[in-house]
Amino acid sequence: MTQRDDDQMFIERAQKGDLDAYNHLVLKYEERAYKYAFRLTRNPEIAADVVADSFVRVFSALKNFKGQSAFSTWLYRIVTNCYLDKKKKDKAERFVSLDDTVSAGESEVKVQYEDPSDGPDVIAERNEREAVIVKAMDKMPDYQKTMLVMYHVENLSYEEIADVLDLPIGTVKSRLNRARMALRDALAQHTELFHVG
Amino acid sequence: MNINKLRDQYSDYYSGSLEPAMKEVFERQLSSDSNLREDYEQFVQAVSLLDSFDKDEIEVPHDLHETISARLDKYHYDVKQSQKVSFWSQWKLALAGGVAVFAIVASILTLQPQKSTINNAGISVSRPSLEFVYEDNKVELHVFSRGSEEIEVRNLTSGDLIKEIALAAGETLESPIDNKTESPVVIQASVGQERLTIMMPGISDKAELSSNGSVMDCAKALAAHYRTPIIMRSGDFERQVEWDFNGIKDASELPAYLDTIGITASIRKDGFLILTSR
Repeated sequence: MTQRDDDQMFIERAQKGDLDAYNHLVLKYEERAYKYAFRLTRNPEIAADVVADSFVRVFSALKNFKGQSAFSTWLYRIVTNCYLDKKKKDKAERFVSLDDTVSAGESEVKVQYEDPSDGPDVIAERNEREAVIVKAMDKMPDYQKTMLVMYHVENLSYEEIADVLDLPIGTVKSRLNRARMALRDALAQHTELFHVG
Repeated sequence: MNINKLRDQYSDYYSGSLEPAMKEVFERQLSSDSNLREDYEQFVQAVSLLDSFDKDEIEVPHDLHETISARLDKYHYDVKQSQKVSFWSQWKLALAGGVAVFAIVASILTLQPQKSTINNAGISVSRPSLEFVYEDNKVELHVFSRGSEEIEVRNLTSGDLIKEIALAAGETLESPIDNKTESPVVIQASVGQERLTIMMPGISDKAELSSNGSVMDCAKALAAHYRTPIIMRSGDFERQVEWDFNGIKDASELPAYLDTIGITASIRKDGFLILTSR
C-alpha cells in the first residue's frame, strides 16, 4: 500500500466523521506542517497558530477533498493560504521580524547547527550567513518567499508547487527563477559573507 | 540575446534542463561576457546557499498536537452550537423582522421511517418509547419498541392518519418530521397508552399575536410567530385563553407571561419549547 493509498483510507474514514482517523492524519503531518510554517513565519507561536488553523481548515473542507492531489500537497496549499491570510490580517501587528531573531543573538539560529566537527568561527559565520538569508527572504514578496521555501527547503517538485499554488508548471519555473534572482540581489550587499561580486 | 532574456534562463541552466540549442547560446555568451558570468556566479551562490539551508533542526513544540487538538475541539464545539438554533435565537430573529425559515418548513409534512433492530441487552430500561429529538434545526421522532407494538402517527389538526407502523420487540424507528403546509399542525405519535404531541410551524409566519381561543390556538400562534416546534406536554389544551404577545420585549418575559394565562413554558436543552396547560 502506498503512502497515498494509506492516507486515502484515513481520509475516507475521516470524511465519514471518524475523528480518530483524522487525528491519525494530524499526527502524521503536524510536524512537517509546523516546520514549513516556521520557515515562513520564523516564529514558533505564529507557526503553531498557522498550523492549528490549517488543520481546522482541512477538516472543514475534508468533505470536498476528492484526492486529485496527495493529502500532503493539499495540506501545503492550506498552510500557505493560512500563512498568507494571517499576514494580511496581522499587517498592522507585524510578524515577529527577523531583526529580532538576529538581534537575539545566535541562540535561535544556533540550534540549526550542531555539527561538532565545525569550529566556533565556522558555526558563527554560518549562523550569520543564514540569518542574513532569512532576513533577505523575509523582505521578499510572500509569493516569492513561499516559492523558495517550498522548492529549496521543503524539496517540493515543480509539479507539487504547481499543485499547491494552482499555477501552470511554466509559471512556477519562471517565478522561481525570479525569486532566486531577487534573493541574489538582496544578498549582493553582503559581499563579505557570500564572497559575491 | 539580451541580458534579461539570458537571466530568465539561469534556473534552467543551473538545473541542467535548458534545451541543447539554448544551452549552447547561453554558454557562448557566458564565456564571452564577463559581466554575465559574474551575474550568473552570484546567482549560483545564492541558490547554493538556499540549498545548504539546514532542513531538520527546527524544534517542534512539545505541545503542538495539543494546540491543534484544542483548536479542532473548539471548531467542533462552535459548529455544534451554530447548528443548534435555540428557541431564543429564533425568537430574536422573529423580533428583528427576519424570516427565520429553517429546515422544518421546507418540505411537506412527511414521515420517513427508518427501522433498525438493536440488542435489548444494550438498552437502558429508562429509555422512553417515544421521543422527539431536535437537532440541527430538524425534528425527529424516535421510537423504541419494547414489545411487538403498533406506532400511530396522526395529524391532529386534520385528523388524518399519517403513518401506522408495526415494530417488533427491540426495533427502533427514527423518522424526520417536516411540515410544508401554510399553518402549524399538531402531530401526535402514540404507542399503546403512550402519547406525544408536537406543534410543527408551517411555512407562513403569520400569527395571531393578540387573540383568544384554546391553549392549542395560543401554541399555534407561538409556533408560527417564533418559528419553533413546540412539545405539548399535558393538560387541557382546549381550555380557552386570551393572549397578547405584542407587549413582550424580551424573550425571558415569555414564560412569565404564559404563566399568567395558565400555561407553563420551559425550554429543553436541545431547544424545544415545552408547554403544559394547567
